[in-house]
Amino acid sequence: MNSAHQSDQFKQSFREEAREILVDLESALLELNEHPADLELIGRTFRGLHTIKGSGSMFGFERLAAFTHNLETSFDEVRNGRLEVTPELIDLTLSALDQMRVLLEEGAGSAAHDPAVCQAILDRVRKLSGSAVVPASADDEGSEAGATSASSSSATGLSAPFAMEGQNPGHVSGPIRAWHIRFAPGPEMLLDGTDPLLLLRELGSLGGLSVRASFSALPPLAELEPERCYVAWDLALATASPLEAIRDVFIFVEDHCELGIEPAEEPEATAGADPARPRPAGAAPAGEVLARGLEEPRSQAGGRRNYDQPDNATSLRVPAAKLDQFVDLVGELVTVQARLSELAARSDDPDVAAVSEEIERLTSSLRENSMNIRMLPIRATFEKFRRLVHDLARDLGKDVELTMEGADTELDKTVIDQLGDPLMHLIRNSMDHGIEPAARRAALGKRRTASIHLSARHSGASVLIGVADDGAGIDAEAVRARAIEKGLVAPSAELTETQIFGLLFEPGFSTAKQVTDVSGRGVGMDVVRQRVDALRGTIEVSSRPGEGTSVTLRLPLTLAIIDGLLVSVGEAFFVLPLGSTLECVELSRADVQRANGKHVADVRGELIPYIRLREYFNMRCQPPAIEQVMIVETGEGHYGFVVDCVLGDCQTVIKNLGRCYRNVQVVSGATILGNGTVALILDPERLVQAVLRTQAQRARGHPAAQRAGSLNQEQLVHQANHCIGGDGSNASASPLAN
Amino acid sequence: MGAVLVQMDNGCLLRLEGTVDIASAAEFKTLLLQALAVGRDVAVSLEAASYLDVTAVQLLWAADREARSQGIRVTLSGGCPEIVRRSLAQAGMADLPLLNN
Repeated sequence: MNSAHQSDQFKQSFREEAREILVDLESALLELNEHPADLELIGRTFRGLHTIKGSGSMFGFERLAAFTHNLETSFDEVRNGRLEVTPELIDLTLSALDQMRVLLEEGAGSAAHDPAVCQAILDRVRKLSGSAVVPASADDEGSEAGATSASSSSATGLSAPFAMEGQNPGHVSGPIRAWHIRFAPGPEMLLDGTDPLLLLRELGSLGGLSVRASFSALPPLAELEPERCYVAWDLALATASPLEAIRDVFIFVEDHCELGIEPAEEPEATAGADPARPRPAGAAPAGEVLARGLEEPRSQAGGRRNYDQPDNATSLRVPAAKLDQFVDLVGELVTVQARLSELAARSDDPDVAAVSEEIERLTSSLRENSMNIRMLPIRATFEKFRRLVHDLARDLGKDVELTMEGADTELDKTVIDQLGDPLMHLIRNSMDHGIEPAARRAALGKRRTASIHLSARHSGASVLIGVADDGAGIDAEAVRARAIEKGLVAPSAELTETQIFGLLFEPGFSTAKQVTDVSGRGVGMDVVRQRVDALRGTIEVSSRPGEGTSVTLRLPLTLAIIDGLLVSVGEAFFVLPLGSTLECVELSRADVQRANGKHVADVRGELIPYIRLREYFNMRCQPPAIEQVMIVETGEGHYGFVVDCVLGDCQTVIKNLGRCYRNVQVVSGATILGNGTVALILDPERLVQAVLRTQAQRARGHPAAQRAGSLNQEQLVHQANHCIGGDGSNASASPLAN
Repeated sequence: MGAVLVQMDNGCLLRLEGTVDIASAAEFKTLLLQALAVGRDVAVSLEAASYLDVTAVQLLWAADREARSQGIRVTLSGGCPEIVRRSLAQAGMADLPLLNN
């Protein structure tokens, strides 16, 4: 393997891992801000910093490692009770995390870090912790490993890669204890980019270390796999550092090695004593301890893993693009399976039918599993808003706490990826406009600390994401007045509260009297609606003046599959999302005559307007004597869609139609049916809005509306065939394409 | 890394240069096998080496065993740089047969 390529791969893997650790660190720090004495959170923060420092150094991120080392030292002080967790330390560390992100990405084409900013942070760290700071501008990437001895490491500068590792035992108070450590790297450890000798060096910086390597597992030269590690070590360490500090040395390799750490039968001494002093009579010399250890087989060494057993790794890291490709292939398989089922249904051969059923069962199971793989908990998205709320609260001078509920709710990664922006805008809006300053809240008799509550829960095939605050609420009358002022609604218009709140999401709409850095330009809410629409979701707003506002986003669990109702008009097929479909009623010619040509259906006394898909898509075929009206719930109320025949429900894989359909918003995708025919997946919400818009334009005599405001379905399907067929195979299978 | 195999009248000389680590382990093994296949003592020079990682040390160790089984030796040609000797000592590998033959 090309070593440069391998090194790049390691660096990339480290970047991915470090990004996750930084998110976790941020979350831990913000929790620590609320619970400054929580030892678990302090330990979590320390371990995160330690891992980034250690792994960073190992993979050539020396500047990052050096910078992080100083923070780690501070949190070691916190861990040992010598430094208090204060809001200043939290803010400082959060700023440091931002710089760590810059340092992490700067080798990957991002902007370089600003040494002055890093140094300023470290100077403040030094003031807080009173410790000496290692310069942040260390530049030793590419320097040779092994140039510095462990004994001198803590005294030297950062020009050697591991000079800063560990702590000088003289700085740690408390008794010195002796430890016996058995360390056997797993066979793959070297391939993961870990050099065990560097771990030993780090361990050596904790105190006096005796090391003995065992080559007993070494095979004959001809059989030796050159990149596999066959060496094991028995170590005797005398240190004042706690067990946790020893474990921390191995923290990022502990799943890839056998590790046993046991206290040696060694009397205690006080700090500052020579760790290499002669042993008292009766105590086993280190050599004897080591020799005993080496006689034991590796599998019994009290380690964490047995490498003679199959790998018991519980998770893998897979690039999202590979997963998307896998899901696409499963989608293709589902399509082909549907065709097979249809062929089998026409065949008289029972064996073919049996195989077809079996394949159908397996395909269904495979589809379900592949979708589950892409499902992720929303926790990571929620957690990153802790920082936003913390920073905004500070900038706006407000006292706000963020609470969460249902963070383990899972939804499709594609949905999660696109959810960050809308949630950010909603939270910023709440913080800036909804939540009152603490003094005002106190005067109103409210709790001084305001609350923003993020929630997630499943509801059928949807997930409900909520952003609720206990702020001032929305003044519906002010929204209405502003909408009239901006010409969005007529002064005489009678609007329901839902419709009024819906105006908040109009482009450029803002009731803010003052534009701030946070919000007020009327851009954010428009973005929320655009993103949620793109996710086939809906927004509900409820608000009580003085009590707060709650915004709920209803989103599909996945964008890859849709539960739909298959309908036909003439020879064409359409899919309507099942979630929004309420019922189906018949529409006879007599019903049409009774309505005097108006497009309304009388459903148990309720007049429901309908849209004829035949007319909307300019289809010239004759309708049957009795048509079907699919009643659908939309933001504009109940609407009907008139079709020829309802064929039944179907779970279909959504095919993206690509650029050629970019401007056709009433169609959200397409799917290929079992017989190879393409069915367009309709977006009822947008379809109704498009029809209403056209009607309004017609009423005003708009020229565009005179061009019918409808689409040519045959043309659409023909284009769709080309878009999703790719090689034309699906296109030729569709009669509509001919 | 550099590992150069030189055929001498009385055997082979394997000269190691710079950092000898996992990146060159496969190539190093091949050179050791070639050198031992000659059937004469193999001299290894570490004078230009600056760092030997675990893969290099375990290959030298295995080569020494192989040589002994053939009745030949793997010997050190010239001195061993202090930086290499010190890092081997820190790793508990100071008794590498090559350094003591």
